[in-house]
Amino acid sequence: MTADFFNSPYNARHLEPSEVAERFIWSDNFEKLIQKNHSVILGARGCGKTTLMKMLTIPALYAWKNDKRSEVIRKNIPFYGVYISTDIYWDVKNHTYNKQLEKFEGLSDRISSFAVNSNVFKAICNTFLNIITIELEDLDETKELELCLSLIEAWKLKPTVPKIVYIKEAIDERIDEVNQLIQDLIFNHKKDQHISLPSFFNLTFESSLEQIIPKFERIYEISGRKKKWALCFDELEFAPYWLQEKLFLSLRSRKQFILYKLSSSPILTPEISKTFKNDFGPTSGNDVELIKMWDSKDSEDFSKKIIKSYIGFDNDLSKVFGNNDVYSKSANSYEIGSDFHKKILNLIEKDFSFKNFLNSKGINENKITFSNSKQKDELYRKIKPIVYHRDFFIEKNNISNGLKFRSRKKSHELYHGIEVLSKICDGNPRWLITIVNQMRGHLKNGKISKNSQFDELLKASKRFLNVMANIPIGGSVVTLSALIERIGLSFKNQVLGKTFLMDPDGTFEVDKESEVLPDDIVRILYKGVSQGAFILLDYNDDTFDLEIRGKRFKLSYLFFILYNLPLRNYSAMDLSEALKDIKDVDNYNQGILFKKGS
Amino acid sequence: MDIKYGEQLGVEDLSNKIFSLFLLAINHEKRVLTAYNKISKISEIRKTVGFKYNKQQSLNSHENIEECIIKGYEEINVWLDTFFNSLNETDINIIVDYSCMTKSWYYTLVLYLSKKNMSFNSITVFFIYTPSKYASPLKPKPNTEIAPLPGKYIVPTDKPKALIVCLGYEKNKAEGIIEHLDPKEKYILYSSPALDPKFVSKIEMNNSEILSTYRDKIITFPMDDLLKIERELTSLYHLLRKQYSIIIAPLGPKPFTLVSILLSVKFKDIDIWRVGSGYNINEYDREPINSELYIINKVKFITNNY
Repeated sequence: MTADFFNSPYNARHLEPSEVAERFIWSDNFEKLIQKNHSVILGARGCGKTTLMKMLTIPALYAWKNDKRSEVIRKNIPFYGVYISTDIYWDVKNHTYNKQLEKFEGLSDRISSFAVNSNVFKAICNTFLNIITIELEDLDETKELELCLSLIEAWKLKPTVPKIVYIKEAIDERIDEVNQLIQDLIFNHKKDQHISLPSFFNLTFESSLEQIIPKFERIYEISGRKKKWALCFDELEFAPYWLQEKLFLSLRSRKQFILYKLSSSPILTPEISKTFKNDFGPTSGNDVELIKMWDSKDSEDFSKKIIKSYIGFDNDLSKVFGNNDVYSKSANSYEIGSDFHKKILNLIEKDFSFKNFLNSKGINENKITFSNSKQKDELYRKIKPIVYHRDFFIEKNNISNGLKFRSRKKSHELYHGIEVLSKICDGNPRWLITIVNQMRGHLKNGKISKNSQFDELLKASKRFLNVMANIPIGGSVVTLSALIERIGLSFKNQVLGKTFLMDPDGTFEVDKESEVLPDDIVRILYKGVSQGAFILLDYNDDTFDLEIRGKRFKLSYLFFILYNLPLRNYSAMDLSEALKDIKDVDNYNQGILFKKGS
Repeated sequence: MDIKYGEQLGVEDLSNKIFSLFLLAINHEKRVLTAYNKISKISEIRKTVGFKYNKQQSLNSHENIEECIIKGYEEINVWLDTFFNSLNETDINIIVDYSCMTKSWYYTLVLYLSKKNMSFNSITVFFIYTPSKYASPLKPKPNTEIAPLPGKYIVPTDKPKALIVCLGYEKNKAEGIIEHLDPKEKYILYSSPALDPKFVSKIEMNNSEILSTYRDKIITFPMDDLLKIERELTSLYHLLRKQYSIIIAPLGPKPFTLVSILLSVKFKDIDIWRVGSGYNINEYDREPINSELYIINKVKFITNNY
């Protein structure tokens, strides 16, 4: 089922807004997005950006019934959302076409601009239609006639039937004509021959909308409503640089009645970062609301709501999935005779480094009590997941024979339960929905066994790694999956290594110097961040994250099952350290890929 | 020029003809000259040219074959300009042996013939493919690029994408493009039967997850039946065209790729994508099954000066 992982039936990109609304779950992020200001949603693939953006449209708002807040929002949302999905074809320069077009100076940018304009024009047509038919229910053809004549004139369309549906067709026909025109230019243009492009190439969507929207409001008599218009550009990371720059700069000003709602990858590319460093760049708070869709405080609660919605019945989730002792917050974990206590005793028995660790903390291994509350809070709580994992995986760790692991294949004791399920997807709804749907097939008497939960989590984990293995790497010498593999193994070595560490390294900081960590690796990291394989930590809610170097990341929890890691964020090691002497694990290249500078 | 028609022929249909050009690709494969050796015995070939990537690939001064280094597909257009401008006839026959060619080379050639304003009445191209013996697939190289084949520019509409993937027998390639393009609709095609059943079992094994995921969207075709391939793709095109932007990713056998390319010329809203591994590709010996077995496609291009 590899290919269906991202491309699941629950991918909002492929759903109509009204379908998205049917199972929409309210979140704090949505509340931020519906405010009367510019907003930028940042997050990895599958984190729900498209769902939020599509929820701003009229068909979605009118189809949303499962929340008592829907009625109020439908009535009071302060703008009309115009949903515009970025198409990877917009970025002519990053595609192979550019070589053919480069002999025509500036043509690739003009074609790119034409492609964007055409799609924005169709998007505003859809919004007009939705307002007219769903919100206003105004079937007065004279109004549509007047509007369409204005559109034909403003967009320099060929004469067509003055109905919005025909206007959309005329835009498609013009796209087809432009395709033929470009093809003819490429193959039959003679050197020094003057190229004369039709005048519609000079249009820009912003000025065009600034002209058209007031006309629409006047014709349909909605000027008095004082609603703004939000251009919702989704998946901007695929957009050409010129458009990203234009839109981010637009966050500073533009016309009072136009808002921008943009969605993009968690970390903006170095190219676009320059926009933020100049005096005209947007600043959070003043100009724009930033919505970072990862590591949010309510992500576990949000995940539980998704699980409840997709598991199919309204039972107590603990009864369906059970609880996991490793993460259970139950106070009786820290009592003599508790499961945790037994694990501690087991581990003392077989792991000399744990015994040494306890002794170093002034704890007699023969007298484990939980009576000291400071010790309970500062030590036992912290070491609990590590104790469970070492006890599960280590058979023996002594000075004479070294470290020996158990040959266990299924770690369902560690990876099951509602605590694990609500945590392991880092709040990414698409992964979670896919996993829960798979698990639902294992429901028996209202429960899903630990084994089945583990099997599905492991499958999802492997699928995710496989997806990463297929991400194109350009000229890089290392694949994204190889990078993940190496980082995961480094963390595993920290948690399950010869020495018991209370605070093992389990996150990484990207080295600042390119001599220590080559740019090539950083380029792959960008891809990993945008796919959700690496998740940014220690960020500031109110600022854009513009550089990857110097930042701290965690590996997506979904990979932790592959490396036997507890679902916790531990201290950071330098990425170069994690990759030290990394061999090409996939044998794609020979020799050492990367070596820390000495 | 426009495609007037195409038909599948046997090798015997190529005897006693005059060909203005025999175009082939020179690489490490054992089948490089198989078709040339056969056709040169039964017909007259006026000029033979071997395109190659670099100097190292050579036929060691084969007396009748002119070698030409091609660094990018644009150079093919330049070469074709020069070649066609040198001819005086109005109706010509050429042979393109695409057995060892990279997709972008024969895509460029087909686009050139269909888009270039030329003074010929007709150009008849005989596309020849020499099937090879089975060789076990190597471990797939990482995907370096997933992109449209260069040559045809398409401004997108707001239609969602439908992807038609023809599976190859290496792992990961099809999954890579499905994830990358994230199409709304997908159809999976693969060759069954192939000329050697081992190809089929390997395709099914290495793509088992895709085949189980999309089991209601799978179409098989006989590898050597170009008409069947054309019909399957054409009916998919008509099924999808109104609702979707159609992309074909021919990751499987080259005859399928050729038919896809020809259809992308016939139906201008089809685009062709590839999954590339850059220069770090797996190299196979590709020994011909025998010297009499070929898949031949005759395509007649006629002038469109109307």
